[in-house]
Amino acid sequence: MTKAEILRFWKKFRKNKLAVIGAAIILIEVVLALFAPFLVPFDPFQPDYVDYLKGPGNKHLLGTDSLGRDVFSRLIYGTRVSLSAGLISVIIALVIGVPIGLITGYYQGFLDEFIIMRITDAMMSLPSLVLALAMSALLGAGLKNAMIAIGIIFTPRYIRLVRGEVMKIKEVQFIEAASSLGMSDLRILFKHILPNILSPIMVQATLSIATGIIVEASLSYLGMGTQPPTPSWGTMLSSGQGYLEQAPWIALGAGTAIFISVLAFNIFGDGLRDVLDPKLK
Amino acid sequence: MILGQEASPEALHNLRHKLGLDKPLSVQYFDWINDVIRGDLGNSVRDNRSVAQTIFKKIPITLELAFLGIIISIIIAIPAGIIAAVKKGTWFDYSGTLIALGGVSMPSFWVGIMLVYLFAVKLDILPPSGYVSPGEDLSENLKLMIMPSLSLGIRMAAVTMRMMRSSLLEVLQKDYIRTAEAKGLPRLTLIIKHAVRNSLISVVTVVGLQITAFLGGAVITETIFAIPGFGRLIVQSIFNRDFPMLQGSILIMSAMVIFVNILVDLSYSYLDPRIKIGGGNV
Repeated sequence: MTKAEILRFWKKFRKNKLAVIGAAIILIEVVLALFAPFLVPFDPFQPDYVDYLKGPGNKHLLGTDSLGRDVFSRLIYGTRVSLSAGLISVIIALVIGVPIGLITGYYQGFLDEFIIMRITDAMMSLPSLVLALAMSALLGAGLKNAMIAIGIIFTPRYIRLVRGEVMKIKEVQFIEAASSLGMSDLRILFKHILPNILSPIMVQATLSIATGIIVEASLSYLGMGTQPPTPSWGTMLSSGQGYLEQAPWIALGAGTAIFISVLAFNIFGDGLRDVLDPKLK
Repeated sequence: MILGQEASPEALHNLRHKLGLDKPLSVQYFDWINDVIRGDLGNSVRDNRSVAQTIFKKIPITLELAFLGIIISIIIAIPAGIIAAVKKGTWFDYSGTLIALGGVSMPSFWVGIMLVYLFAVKLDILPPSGYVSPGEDLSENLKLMIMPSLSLGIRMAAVTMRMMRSSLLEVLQKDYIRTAEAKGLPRLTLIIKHAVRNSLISVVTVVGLQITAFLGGAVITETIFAIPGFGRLIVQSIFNRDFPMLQGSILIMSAMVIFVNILVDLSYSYLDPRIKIGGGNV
């Protein structure tokens, strides 16, 4: 992207107030995640057997949990888990899905029609959470495996998306021109086709991060994702559920954190789509 | 796992042989497929229950939950979507959009927990969790089902409402709507009779597709509310490493999803008689 293009993009983007707010929230969360150790008021792992289940107040901004750990500090650390789960799972899906989509879309044929497409059909016929659960059961509980599982369940979406876009664009004349100039297929795919279909991929990726955060939180809630004592929003929700009566702030805080981040990615993705892809709406 | 930590190697060997675990994976898989075709999903390795029977006992519970959830989402989404489309650009439209985006962004299990907090802990008007079959006590059953189906329905309603709004907006710009307007039809008749029916196709598609998401949501919702349904069965068989049960459940769940997709396709021809099923002459 040239400087002029970035400027043009920004001019259009900032008109969409909601999307700008979403982007700002994401930026703040990234900063929180990166500098968590310097920003937290308390050690998120340090139990306090005197001040446990304390309500929000002066000392602990959002109260403490059943082991006396500061909820606010744990929420900040949880940003790390959620953001990286969302981001890494989408990167896994992109790395596997985009090349497969490019190749099957460009060559089509037997492999595409009867193998790749049927596999994606099969994967997409199951609810993503169920598939993620089954896969993390196979791989074993833990954050790393949860990210891999989420990445794999996202992959078919990208194969389909990229394949469809490639099939549309390969009929356009400039591709024909490139191939008549004797360019190799690989060069055409990555140099000429890929840059032209980046917009829908980027929009889909942003929206997938939102889904990834929810799925990771759900897996952690069910005990298949992040393992204690690592602070994650999903595990905080499930442990907070047991103390709804005495300490509703634990579940409330963790849920609000998930809600705000997912909302931020959703409105940011919506805004991106309006700017990059005016046809899709 | 089954025999405990201190099983003798011999007992282990016998058990492996009995469960067929000493055969290669591919052979195990074809054995399983072979049985499935004959309608035998095997038995649980945990307590030897028949997988098929267990699943079919659980499905009605989840179907009830799904059915109530869909009804709730439609009751909220269709009118809200219609009003948002008709009053496009007003505060109702904007706040609807914002609420819908919020609804999509809330994980359904959090909605569930918050509902428990509000109605069971604070207001104390609904039981927090559990399940009673409708045959046993219908009013108690419905009371227990309100919160789970709400927590599933709210999220669905958000998506359905957006779809209703945008497809109705598209239909309202069509020529035949202008014709109907020109011949002096009252606005209400015009919208209900002419526009809404034609915009329902994409809404039906979305509702149908959401049933997939719904079954996934049931996994978590049933865990929160301790409902002994199909979703909870899957979670339990994962934690128990009960693979025959898990395989069977996943198979049945995919079959359900495919069945729903067929139903959705069939409903198109009802909603729009121009669409014919089975390649008949047009």
